[in-house]
Amino acid sequence: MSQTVGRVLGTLDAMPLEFWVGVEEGQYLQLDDVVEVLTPLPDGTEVRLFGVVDLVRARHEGAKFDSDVFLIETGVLPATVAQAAHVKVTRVEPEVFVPPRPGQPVRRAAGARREQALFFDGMERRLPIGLSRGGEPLYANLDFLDGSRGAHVNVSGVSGVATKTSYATFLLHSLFRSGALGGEAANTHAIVFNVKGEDLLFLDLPNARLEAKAREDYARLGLPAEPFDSVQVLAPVRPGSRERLPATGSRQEGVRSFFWTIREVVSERLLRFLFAEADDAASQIAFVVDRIEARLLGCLSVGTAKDPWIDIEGRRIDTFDMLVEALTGRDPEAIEPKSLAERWASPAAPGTVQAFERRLHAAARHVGHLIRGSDVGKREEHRLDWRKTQTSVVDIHALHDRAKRFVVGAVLKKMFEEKEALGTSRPLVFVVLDELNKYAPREGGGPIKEVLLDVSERGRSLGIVLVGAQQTASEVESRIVSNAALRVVGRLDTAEAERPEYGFLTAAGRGRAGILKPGTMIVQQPEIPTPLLVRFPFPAWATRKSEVAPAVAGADVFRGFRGE
Amino acid sequence: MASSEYILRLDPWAAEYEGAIQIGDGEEDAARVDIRVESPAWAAVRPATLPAPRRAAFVDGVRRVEHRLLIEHGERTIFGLLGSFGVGAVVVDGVARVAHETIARVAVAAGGLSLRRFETPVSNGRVAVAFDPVSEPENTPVAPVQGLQKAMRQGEAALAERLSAEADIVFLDGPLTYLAAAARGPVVGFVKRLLRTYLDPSASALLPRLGVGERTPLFLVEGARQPRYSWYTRIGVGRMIDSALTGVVRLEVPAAPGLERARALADLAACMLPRFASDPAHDPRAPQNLFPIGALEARLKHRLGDHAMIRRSIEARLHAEVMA
Repeated sequence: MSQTVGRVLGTLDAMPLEFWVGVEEGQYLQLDDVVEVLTPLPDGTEVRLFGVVDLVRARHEGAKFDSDVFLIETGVLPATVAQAAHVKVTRVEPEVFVPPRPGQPVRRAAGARREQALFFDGMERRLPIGLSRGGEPLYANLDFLDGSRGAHVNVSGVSGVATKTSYATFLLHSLFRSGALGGEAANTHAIVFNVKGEDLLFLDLPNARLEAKAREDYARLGLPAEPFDSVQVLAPVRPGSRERLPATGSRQEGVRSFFWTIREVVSERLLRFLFAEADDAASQIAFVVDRIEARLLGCLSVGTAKDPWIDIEGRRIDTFDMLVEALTGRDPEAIEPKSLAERWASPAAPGTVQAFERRLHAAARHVGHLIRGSDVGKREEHRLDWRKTQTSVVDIHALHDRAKRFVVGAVLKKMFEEKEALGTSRPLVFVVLDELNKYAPREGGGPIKEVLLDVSERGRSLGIVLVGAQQTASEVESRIVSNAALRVVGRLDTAEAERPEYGFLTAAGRGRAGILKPGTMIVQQPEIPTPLLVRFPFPAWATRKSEVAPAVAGADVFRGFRGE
Repeated sequence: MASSEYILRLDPWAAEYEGAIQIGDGEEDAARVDIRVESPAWAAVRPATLPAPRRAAFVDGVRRVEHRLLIEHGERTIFGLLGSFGVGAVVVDGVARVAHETIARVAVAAGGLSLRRFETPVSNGRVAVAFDPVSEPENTPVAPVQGLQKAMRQGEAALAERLSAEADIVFLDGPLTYLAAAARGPVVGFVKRLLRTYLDPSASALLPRLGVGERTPLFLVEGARQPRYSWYTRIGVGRMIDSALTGVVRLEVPAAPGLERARALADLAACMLPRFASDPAHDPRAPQNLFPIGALEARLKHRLGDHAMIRRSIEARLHAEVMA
């Protein structure tokens, strides 16, 4: 039976959506506590108000001056300590919006009542999103994640503690293993971009530092304390490696390299992703790129679809450098030396074409090794097929920003087109992408931003769910942020927390966002009118080499023999 | 005389104008004073520093006239009032806390008339405030206030006596007029206003010279009331513009338990009271109005309830009677 912790205050206005509780002697209320209060109506019926504590305060009653505290503590002046808690109402049953009557007893909501207060009772498919500080599971409505009524997650928070991606992977783990997705879980996929560090490269390996307490947390959430299974890790191919070895960091085993063939870049019109700098969009370069992509398509007639190379006006293009040369080279002996790009892009201004050429040269330096026309081996081994495993990790952390953009753009475009062609919202694909501000900045346009906007706006019906993260939501395209049904905030810079993107945070929430510890997030979801503070367990999968459990790392040698 | 024959009407003279009336409060005029009971020399005594008592208590009360009444009783018009008072204590044992608060309300009638219990609903009718009958023999305008004051003083004395069983020292606001003659506990009357001097001018000359924590020797006061030992002590110093007697209070204990007992209490009081003396920023009656007393009064006044609300409920009740 829930216990009376206090009574509705009458000295401060009690209102249908917020009220204060005087906390009884010997009791306490803390932030995030869930409470309920019954208030009688004149006709004898009772209205039950549920709420979450979002402010607590204590003060001396009977003291007039600040200095009274010293008199009180030395036993000279009598005073009582009065504690009060502010409650933000989450739910009113039945929906008669009357203020709670001052003096009514306030109880901590427990069990079914707590679920009611937080709308968990109405969630048919609920996804564990973490634990309250009291250790009770908190849920999100899966309807708002799988596209039924909403989709997308957006995570904000300062970097350095890897909390954002940790939480994103925790959500994936919960999606795959909680049972919320039912039979669909097995056919649900995730594409995880490892943008920074190497913390997402070990998702399939148990974390040796997982302690008993974290295991308990997983158990309470109804989740196995296990790493991800069915994971493929792809890393960019090493520059110049004829053996197509992956450019990996600390993880060596089980990593495949990825790259694109020149033919794919041309046929899938991926060239544009080489021109995804913020300033590229502002200029006329997009027009030039568009023209050249169209002309290059015409070059596909020579060779078969399986050939990695293309043929431009009789020249076989085997490497990206050759492509650059073919497009930008000038015959010094010609009367009026014009590059192929200039001719194809006509009537674009020469300055614009030159800008295109400069950028293409720059791209060759940073991205060229990812696009090859020979030594491609068995193609399917070096291409991301997200259907092959449940989770695909694409490591791009060591790439230059330009190359990162190319990879993200190319992967998402391909996946989006595949999903579009399928025409159904299943299988679900979750895309985890950190540093969203680099790909979809608030200012400016560009091809990647377009793909991400497509995902954000149409992904819901196509079964593509974006789990985006960034340090500051204010730097990301606002349509992408506002389309996210689940808004998550980790530790925020205090000035950032004041921005309108975080309007869902309460005043106290803003303050707390400044002091959140790693492993704690504030989650806002559509059905619950107040953000919830959640604690999520330490990853059960390794997030760095040193966390990989040694015995299992050894057993990993046999992965290939298990048909994985 | 049958009490059912009276008619209650409000005295147009609003209650708040009565607050200024000072009630004698048992400071006797005709008393014999012996200033040589403790020592032959009439000089300031500075007691050795004593440890703070394990538990000390300060007892005080507040009163308020809710409405003055004029009672038509046959041919007579009788003065009366509806009043509230609160009695409580601050118990100091490490921390100071308000305890034993009691709020009572009385319907006082002068001229020996006894009224019926007067009840009137408040808080949307959920609670009734009830005024219990108290009768004063004389029929003077001031008699009803005296009745209210007496009721409060009796409440204070009873509480002080009760607390004296569990405290090392109990300070009771005002002289010990209402303390039961048989009371033997360590109850000390604390008179903060020196309305009447018990000393002749030459002995009084010592008072302004008392230092903080010093006291006069005990003197015995015998008169109409129980004999008692009394002394003056300085608990604080006033400002330059204040009278030289600011900060000097008079204390008294019953004489019956003996001189040694009285001296022990006098020394303890002289040691401990300066710590509780208030300062002018907190209390205009500083330093005599001790910190605990000031806080207790504020608390008790608050506990009396909202004056305007109670007045209105009384008026509503009488109005209903008139209209009936």
